[in-house]
Amino acid sequence: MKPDTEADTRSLEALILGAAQGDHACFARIYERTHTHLFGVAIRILGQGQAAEDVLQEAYVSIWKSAGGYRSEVGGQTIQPMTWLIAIVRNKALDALRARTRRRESELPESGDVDEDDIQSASNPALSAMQLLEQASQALHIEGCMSALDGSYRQSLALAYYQGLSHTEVAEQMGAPLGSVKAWIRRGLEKLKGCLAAQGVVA
Amino acid sequence: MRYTQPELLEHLASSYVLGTLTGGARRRFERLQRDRADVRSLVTQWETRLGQLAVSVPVQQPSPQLWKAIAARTQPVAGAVAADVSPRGWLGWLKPAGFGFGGLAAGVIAASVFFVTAPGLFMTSDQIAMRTGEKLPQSYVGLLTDAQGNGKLLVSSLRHGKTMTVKVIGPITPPASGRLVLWAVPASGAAFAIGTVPTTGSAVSMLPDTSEKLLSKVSKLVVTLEADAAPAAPSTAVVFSGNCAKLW
Repeated sequence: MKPDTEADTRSLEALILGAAQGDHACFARIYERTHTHLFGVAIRILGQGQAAEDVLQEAYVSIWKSAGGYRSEVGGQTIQPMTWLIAIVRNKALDALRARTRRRESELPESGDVDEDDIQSASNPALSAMQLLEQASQALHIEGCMSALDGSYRQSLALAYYQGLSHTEVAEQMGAPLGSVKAWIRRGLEKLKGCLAAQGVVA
Repeated sequence: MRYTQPELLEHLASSYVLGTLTGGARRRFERLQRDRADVRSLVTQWETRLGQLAVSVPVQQPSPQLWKAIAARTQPVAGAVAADVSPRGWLGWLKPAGFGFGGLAAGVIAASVFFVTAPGLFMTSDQIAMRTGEKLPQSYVGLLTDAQGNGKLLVSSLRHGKTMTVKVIGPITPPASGRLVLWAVPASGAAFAIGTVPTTGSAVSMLPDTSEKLLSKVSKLVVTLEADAAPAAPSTAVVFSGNCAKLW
């Protein structure tokens, strides 16, 4: 990828606009600026391994094809470019994760036939989902507001968001009843909405 | 299922973005998003909220081969552009390996026949009725004219929707200052603003509630020229006006 000083001065939004008009140099700059963050998002959900790179590849191809669909404002709500990009990557990572789960449920691996991704994703990530939620809460200045929630509520929300776990998987991981987990996550989302609104994020 | 309850839509949108809405429910909600601007708006709001949480995710470096693979799939190739726009080029996209034009045509015909003979699998009863020309969707509509009776604006909103479309149907001179504001005037009660008016083309805006709740008792729509950014009541300078009608 060649350095492009002219494009480097442009905002991410302007680069997306350029990509929408077929300017591949703008698309390359979008990749340059965002790929490490978006790869981090994919890895949190899929674990280290080829699956995360495959998802990121699909996500960027989708970004290139659908750049014209990016809207900086929807219904009076400003949409940050990074929000749009993260949503694309998370959706593709979640689809890949669910497909992997379905494969795992339908196929019993033969002896010695173990998915490399499973090994790597099973390894303990450097930071737990709960730690990431706490760090994000601090960065967003909502840690006081969110701490009013019981730890189980926050942990279930963190597992669902950062690791892409389903209700059932969260319940299994926490050893809690499915109904409780559903209620905790719903309450956690409501609390997050209120805490962010108090900070001026999407009233 | 009728997706008219705001609480249900809010819950589905948050679950969808979080990822806990799975399987068939996730696919159904994706279809709903494609059809409803108000649902897309809810999803966008939740993407904005939950996207904030990614701030703490550590950055990771993928292999250098990743960009090469992406570029290979996206980089326009010299010579390929002409091929892409030629009939042979675009037909190539429609021709899977070992499946020629005859197969493609047969597939299109089969899909069309299935769509025509079993539309209920793809559309709601309202959509079927609309498609067969039996009726128009339940909507609130307004045709606004100037003082001389010249048609200027067509306002429409689905009965249970939260978006409103304002389409310019006659030339409008942009105001030198201020902006054109659309007001709903109930049969009894104070008028309330429901959006701004474009001077060309059309504009889609979000309503604070469903049309049914906002407009069921509204009999008239007016457009005024306002200097204030957020006027509490319409000024006396009515530019366009018309009746608000229920289309069902």
